[in-house]
Amino acid sequence: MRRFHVRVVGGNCGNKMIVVADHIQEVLARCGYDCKVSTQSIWETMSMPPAVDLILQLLPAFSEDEGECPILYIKPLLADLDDPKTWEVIFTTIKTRCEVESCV
Amino acid sequence: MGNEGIQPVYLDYCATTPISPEVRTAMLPALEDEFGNPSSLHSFGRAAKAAVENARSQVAQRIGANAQEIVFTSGATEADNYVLLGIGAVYEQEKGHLITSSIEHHAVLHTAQWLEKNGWQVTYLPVNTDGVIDPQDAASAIQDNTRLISLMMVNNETGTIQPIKEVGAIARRHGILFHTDAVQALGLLPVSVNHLGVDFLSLSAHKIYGPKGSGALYIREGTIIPPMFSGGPQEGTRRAGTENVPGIIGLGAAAAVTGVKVGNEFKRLSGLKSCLLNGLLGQVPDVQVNGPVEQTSPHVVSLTFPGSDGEMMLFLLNKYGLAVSMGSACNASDTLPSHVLLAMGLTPALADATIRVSFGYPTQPADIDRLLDVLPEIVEQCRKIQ
Repeated sequence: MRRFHVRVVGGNCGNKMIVVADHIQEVLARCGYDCKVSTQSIWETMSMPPAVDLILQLLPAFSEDEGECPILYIKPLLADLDDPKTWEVIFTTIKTRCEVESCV
Repeated sequence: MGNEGIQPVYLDYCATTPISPEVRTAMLPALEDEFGNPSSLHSFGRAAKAAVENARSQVAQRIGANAQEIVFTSGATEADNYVLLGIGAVYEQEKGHLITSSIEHHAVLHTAQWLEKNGWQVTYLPVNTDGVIDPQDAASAIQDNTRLISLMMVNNETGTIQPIKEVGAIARRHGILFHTDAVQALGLLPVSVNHLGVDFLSLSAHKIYGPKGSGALYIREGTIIPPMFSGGPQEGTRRAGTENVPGIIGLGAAAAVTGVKVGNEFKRLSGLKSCLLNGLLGQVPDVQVNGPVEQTSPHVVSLTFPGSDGEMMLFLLNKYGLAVSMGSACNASDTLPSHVLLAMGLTPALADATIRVSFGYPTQPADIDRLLDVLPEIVEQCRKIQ
């Protein structure tokens, strides 16, 4: 069973992206998901991240037709790390994805 | 950078400008055979010294100063720091009062804050919703111990032209030293130190089609300010260290080029700005232009698109090969809305929904068309996502 890889994609304000990514890692771990959460600044790396299971974007950097994994827009987490609507979509997507791939 | 194959369009001339062909030609000898140290006595040194002094005359001529009133620096940040910290050093014991504005470049603002932490009083003049200070506010802020007034000539985010001449007259009447950072003005506006009534004026080469790492400070003859560095006798003992000869030559040539082009380019870029604004206002609902056209430099347009996001627009424009910048600045630790836009009364959300488009001598009508082709759609997309 492999770890589920989440990539948080953000812009210029790196520390906020890291705060969001850390929080996502923490929440997912608390909920029993074995996830690896990594970050990517689109101003440093503009290409689609390879080999990830879910892209969570703070900026609309990529569209789903560019890659092979779900892409969600999570900017509301910048204002509220626990924004319920955003988390609902994240959980739904991860659950669906994990059921398909049996990765957790 | 994610837009391979697309001809890029540069619309960020407030950030920096390309080196003009005239400047490049002027600099090349100093990068090749004419590499002497201006302090050396032999022919190589004398040639370098002559080139530096020629550049000093070119800069002086551009701003109506005497050559001996020009001190070469590494750029405008150093020049700004030199003025504020230099006056701070003159009054090291008794301290004093500084007047500046809330929309200055951080080179001035952060240095003013440093002085404040070290016992100085600082008044930060407010601006109106157009981003312009009221000279009367400057007059009212003057105290018995006011040592210096420091105000920028053209704001780097909105292009607003400040009433420097009026404040200069007030400063002169009260016998207070007056500094202006004219970095964004020199490429398009007439700049005369006597007309403006300034005692110090900061310049940067790379904003006027010269090289990076080169700038100058005008210091009115007779003004007392201690040296910024100690060491050799360069720059009339004001700034020790071997001169950046190619950079200085580049600044001199750039100053001369702007002196020739300033009038025509002002008119031409005013036309481009009108085209952009007319095009945008016709296509995009709810656009806010920060700073009135008649009181802003024609090379800068600050645009707020309520409900959008500056960095998002920047990113999407970059995908289309268009380079603009945000109206707000970021630092490493947080997203900070632009202090300039906040001072003008914009909310943090509006400040974050702002981009800055800035033109330069190479900008052509086709570049504006390219921007107009994609910006309305990008704004709509950003508003939808937001």
